[in-house]
Amino acid sequence: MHLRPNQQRRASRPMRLLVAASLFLTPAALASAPLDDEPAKEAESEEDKEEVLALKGGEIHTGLGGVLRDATILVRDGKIEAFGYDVDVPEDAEVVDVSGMRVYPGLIAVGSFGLFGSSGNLDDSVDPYNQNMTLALAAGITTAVDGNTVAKLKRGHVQGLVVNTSAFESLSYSNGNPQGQLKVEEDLKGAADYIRAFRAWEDEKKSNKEAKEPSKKGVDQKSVKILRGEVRPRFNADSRTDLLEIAHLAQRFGFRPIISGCREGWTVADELGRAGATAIVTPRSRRPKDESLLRDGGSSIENAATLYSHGVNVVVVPGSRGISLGGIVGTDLLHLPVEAGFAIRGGLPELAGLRSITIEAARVLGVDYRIGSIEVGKDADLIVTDGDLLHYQTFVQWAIVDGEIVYDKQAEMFFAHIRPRPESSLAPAERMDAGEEAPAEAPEEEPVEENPEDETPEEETTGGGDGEEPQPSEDPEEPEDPEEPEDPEESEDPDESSTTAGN
Amino acid sequence: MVMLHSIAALLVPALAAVGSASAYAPDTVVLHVGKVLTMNVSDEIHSPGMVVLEDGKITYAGPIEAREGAPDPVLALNTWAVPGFVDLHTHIHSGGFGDINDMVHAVNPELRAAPAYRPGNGVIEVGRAGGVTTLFGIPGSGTNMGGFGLIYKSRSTGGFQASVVRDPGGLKVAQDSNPQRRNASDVGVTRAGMEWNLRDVADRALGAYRQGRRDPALENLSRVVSGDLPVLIHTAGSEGVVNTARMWKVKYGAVAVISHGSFDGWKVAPALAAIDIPVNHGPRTIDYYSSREGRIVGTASEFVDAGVPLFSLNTDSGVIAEEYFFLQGSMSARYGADPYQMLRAVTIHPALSFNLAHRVGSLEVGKDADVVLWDGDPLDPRSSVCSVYIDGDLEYDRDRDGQLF
Repeated sequence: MHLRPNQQRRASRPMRLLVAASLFLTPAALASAPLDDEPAKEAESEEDKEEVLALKGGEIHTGLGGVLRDATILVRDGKIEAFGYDVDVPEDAEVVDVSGMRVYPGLIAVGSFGLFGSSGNLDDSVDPYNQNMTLALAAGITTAVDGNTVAKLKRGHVQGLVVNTSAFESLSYSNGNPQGQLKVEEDLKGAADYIRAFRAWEDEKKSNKEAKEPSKKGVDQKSVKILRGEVRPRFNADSRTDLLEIAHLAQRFGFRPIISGCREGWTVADELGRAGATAIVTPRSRRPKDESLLRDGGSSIENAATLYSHGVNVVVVPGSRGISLGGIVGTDLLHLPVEAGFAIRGGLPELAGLRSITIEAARVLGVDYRIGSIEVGKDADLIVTDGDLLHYQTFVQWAIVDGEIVYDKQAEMFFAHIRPRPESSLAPAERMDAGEEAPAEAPEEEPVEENPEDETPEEETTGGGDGEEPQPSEDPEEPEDPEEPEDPEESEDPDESSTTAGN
Repeated sequence: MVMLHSIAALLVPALAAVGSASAYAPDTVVLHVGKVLTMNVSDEIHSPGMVVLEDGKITYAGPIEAREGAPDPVLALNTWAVPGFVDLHTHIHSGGFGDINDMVHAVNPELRAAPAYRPGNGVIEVGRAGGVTTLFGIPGSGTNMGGFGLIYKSRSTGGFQASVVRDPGGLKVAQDSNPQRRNASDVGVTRAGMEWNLRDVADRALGAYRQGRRDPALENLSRVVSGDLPVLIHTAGSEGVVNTARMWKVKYGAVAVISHGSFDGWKVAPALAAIDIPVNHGPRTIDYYSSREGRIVGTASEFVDAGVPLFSLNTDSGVIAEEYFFLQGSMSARYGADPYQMLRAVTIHPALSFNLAHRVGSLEVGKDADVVLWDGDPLDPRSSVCSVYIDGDLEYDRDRDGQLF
């Protein structure tokens, strides 16, 4: 089922059709009517088959280093067909003028929760109008990992979201669990022996038909896949010791580890680089240094940069993998580019910062053949922004998934009122960095009586008095004020647990 | 003739001194920077610019000029010189969240935060690497009147004496949400009860003050109701905010600052502007659920646009770690406020609203030499702090100390 008409669309076209359609997306409707599947598509009129979208006049950032100013991207049937300066736009194409704006590949969140309105199998159950999905699109995210499923934020669709159902193959190898470490090593060793025997058998088979295939019995198949390079195992590790041991394990057996956390990675970056590791980091997450050790330790704002400069691929995720509207701003998926900004603060090059939330994320998920950069033939998952993606004031104006505009800032309530896009959609609103010379016509108004609409405080106290109290906390993890120091949830103090020990 | 001669004798060495190195104290620092954001009343920005720090004070902030006899300038032309940030709502003076709530009595006008203060503790150090140099360290909001906070600099050197600006620095009151004594069969479950708790003790303090009667328990509170010491009031929600503002600003005429003003508190911003009460906003800076308008409201811009005087931001650290103070400004700017206003909200506005502007909050001659050098727009998460001078002392240097943040 196609939820939008194939017509020339104005930039600010509201998505009311999508919203109207959502009313019918009840489970009953899903059961009785084919929605998004192929037979339904076939049944649609012929003209609806060829979907051509052109983004004209934007500054295209391919995500691989290329920047094309005042260029055009042509999208056909959900794929990037062409981009550049000499792109012929067919007459029937839907054209969006993005002059003065930038076009980036859609962002990828390698961890998320609550964006799809369901958990479990996203093929069977998804809320295609989930508010958090819309907000994640507003943050520029077009693909996210939910559980272990890589799925697109294909708003308005219930099918075709899932890209990959096995995002990661987890492996635990921690210094705190020597038994577990031993098991991992034995599994890998068994797998290595098996692969060696298997190869010998394949050779021998050519001359000896009777050769016996080595037995798979007792061989850990996950380890075989890892050693054959079919999957890259993901470890959760932060401490220097664990990271070193993972790096050594990887070099010994010849695989490339993915390491989530990696907060002390900067202390052993050369080893991790040698192991061909990819690090999934949250630049702001903290880990206190173990003061009983002389060597370097603890978290560092320079972690991402140090890892990068030693050849480790860096992927960035924010501290909170959900969408938080509780009031404390800047640490959730809604601010994924901000988190990448903190990696840049620590010295990561700008381009590596952009890559850390696009192509490197796609690579770590094994889906870089489809998404993560602007390249001909790749999925048309694009975002159009009103400025530098990594600048704190930049907003996503449109998000496009599989060639379809699934988010339009001016068509949603959330951010439409903030620096609204001029209707012409040319040139974004004038913006200044803090501290730029302020224009003369906007001098600071020191406390001037603005005659605030005759609202007296009395009226306010009674006027709002419907007995409704502001909830002290929408999110219990975000206290308004520290009240109960003994509650560990409310404490961000790394020293908290050692307070008594220190005294 | 003799007289003239002796005057000349006095003058000659004096004139000589101007031209020689001895006119400058040995610890004088001359900074040549790409940009000086003075944050003064006329919004002067010098690009490039120069700041001179002598004897812990700023003696010059303006365009680059030659200074004969002065020490060699620190050449930092790729940096911006910005006043050290002033955060009025912090709880990290003890090094964490401990030691901030004495939960027995509903009102504690006798208590002070100072005994819990650990100067230059690790949490403060990281905050300093985020450009924060002056903090109001206060009791928590577990009780209606947590006690008196202290105003201190984020210095690591010099201990208590060198770092404390004012003790007591001001009063901390909490009038909504957290201090509600829900589980104590006690007065103060409702707004009415909380107001009574506060009014009762404030009236007694006012009485003592008017009668010239010395009451050790109410001594500091008397200074608040008489307008000598400021009061920072934790309050939230539209009803709570107006209630608080009227009580402290209108009834007692105190130097009162609304803190938090969260949830739908922004809706009464015009009422606050009408009575001229400063707002110290945070840690929440957006509102979606409380106002139920369907839009995500950048609350800082609502307060500023309504004409609230001296709008400032806070971290409520460690609710938000101190070093993310700048991010409160960035995110407020993202959600609708003007970035320059948000720089005011972390520098001169908090200083002015808490009677600190004679010492901190802007780069002006005569003020404390609290200067932070940034390698770009301080509100941009990609920028970082290169150096922090506090009272003219280089307390943090990225190259010397490693990048703490």
